[in-house]
Amino acid sequence: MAENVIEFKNVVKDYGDFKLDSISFVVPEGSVCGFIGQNGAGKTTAISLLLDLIRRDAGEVYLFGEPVDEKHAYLREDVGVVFDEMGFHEFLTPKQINVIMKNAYKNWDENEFFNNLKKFSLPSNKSCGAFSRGMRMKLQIAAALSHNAKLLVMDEPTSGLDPIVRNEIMQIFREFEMQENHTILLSSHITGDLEKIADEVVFIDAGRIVLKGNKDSILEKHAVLKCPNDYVEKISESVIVNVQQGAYGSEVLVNDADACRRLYPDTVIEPSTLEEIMIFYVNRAKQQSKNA
Amino acid sequence: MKGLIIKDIYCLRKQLTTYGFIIFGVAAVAIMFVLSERYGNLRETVSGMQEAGFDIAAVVKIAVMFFMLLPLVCTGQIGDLFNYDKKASFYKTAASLPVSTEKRVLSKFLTALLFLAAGLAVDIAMAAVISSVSDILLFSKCAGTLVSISACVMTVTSIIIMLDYAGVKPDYAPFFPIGAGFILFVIVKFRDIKSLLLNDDFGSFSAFFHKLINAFECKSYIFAIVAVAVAAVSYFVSVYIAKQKKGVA
Repeated sequence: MAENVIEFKNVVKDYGDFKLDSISFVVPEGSVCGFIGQNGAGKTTAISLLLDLIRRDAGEVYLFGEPVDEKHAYLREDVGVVFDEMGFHEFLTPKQINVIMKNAYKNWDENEFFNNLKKFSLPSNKSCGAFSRGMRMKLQIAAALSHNAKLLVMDEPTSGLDPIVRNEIMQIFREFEMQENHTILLSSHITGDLEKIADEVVFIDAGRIVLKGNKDSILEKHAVLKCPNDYVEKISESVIVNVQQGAYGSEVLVNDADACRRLYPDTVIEPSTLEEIMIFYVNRAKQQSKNA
Repeated sequence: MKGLIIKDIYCLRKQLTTYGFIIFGVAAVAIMFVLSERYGNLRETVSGMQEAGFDIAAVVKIAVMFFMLLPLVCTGQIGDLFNYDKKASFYKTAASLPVSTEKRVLSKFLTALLFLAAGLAVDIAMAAVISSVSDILLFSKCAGTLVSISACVMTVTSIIIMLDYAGVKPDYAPFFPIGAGFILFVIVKFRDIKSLLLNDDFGSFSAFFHKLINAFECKSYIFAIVAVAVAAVSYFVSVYIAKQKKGVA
């Protein structure tokens, strides 16, 4: 088994009006990788490249150590996929979906699928067109978990869901991840969810990787420094990610929290969240492109 | 691949009900027509028309064949599958399955072939029944015609599948092969059409149709060879397009 379940090497996909610009990252086996970024940042494009749904213009993508291409379609036997839309015909019932999947996956486990349906309180005889958004997502997850997948790839599975259902779904992911060698790539712009579950984080913006690495170390390194507006110029530019100025003071996202605590003891330095990190980096990129 | 074919059958299941009604209705009408021609009201009309010099047997034969071919032609509804898949965004799900592009494309052709084979089987059974109670249809010729028409339906369906992969809207795709066939016919038979329109001269037209009917009845292998060739070309082109576009169901 490969050490890295997913590997992107200098991958380029150019749509003309949007470009995934030479992105590289890895997802280690047994980890939960949060793939974060605002809408349109390139998360779905990257996932589509991983699943060989679209052609890449350059670079290499590896899944379980094997190149992702037409010859390696069998690799998807070990991948459970959850898209932001259901992807099943509305007139199909879960029972019929079971028949389709049973004949598509070698490792399809019928009992597991029906157990999952029961666990998620999904009726097996009702057309899935009548399902709510939460139920549709759960149906996809039930299918993704029913063929002994080693990797779950999910594209915005929790967007548009209420907090209760989101929490239920995150619990399902936790249970999956607790099993040996199970890996999850979870794309979302709801960073709160990822903060609870992710081990690794890949942050993408405008088709470029902005940050990647261990979630805890990213959170430890970054912090929000609060100070008066005129104090900002005293802060070393090398640690500033971006500044948000308000009427009563400034909030500065810094990328070396420990150094800032030592250098600027008279300021308030609070731990940052993934959401804050994402917002500050995105705003910095916007300002830079404006200035350019 | 089997899973995708099953999915397609589920998709066309709604049409199966309509299809069942058509087969039942057509069978009933065809049998009533034949019986009436033999024992009922139609017999008198037929004898009257025969006295007037009409080749009534040919007219009745065409009418009965038309009834029988209807269910066969209804099997060429493959374009609807693309509509269903598009509506459900199934192409993403299909592409995430451990199935190669070749097999994904092949599943569409096999579904079409499966439905066509079912239609052909039903029609041949009907032909056997009708030819056993009436002498207007000779089973061997009727079976030949049905195989020829099946081959034509498969030819058109293969082109429709290819056009669907090429991105032509599924609702419009059938018009292209049918329209192309019509234009080809007009070009080849332009003189005859001109003389028909200007001089009301049915002669050459009538000869052509007799030849065509004869070919349908006795030379179905030609249509079958064309269908296999067109299906093979359409398959390879469809695979090429699907690979270029990626993610096409």
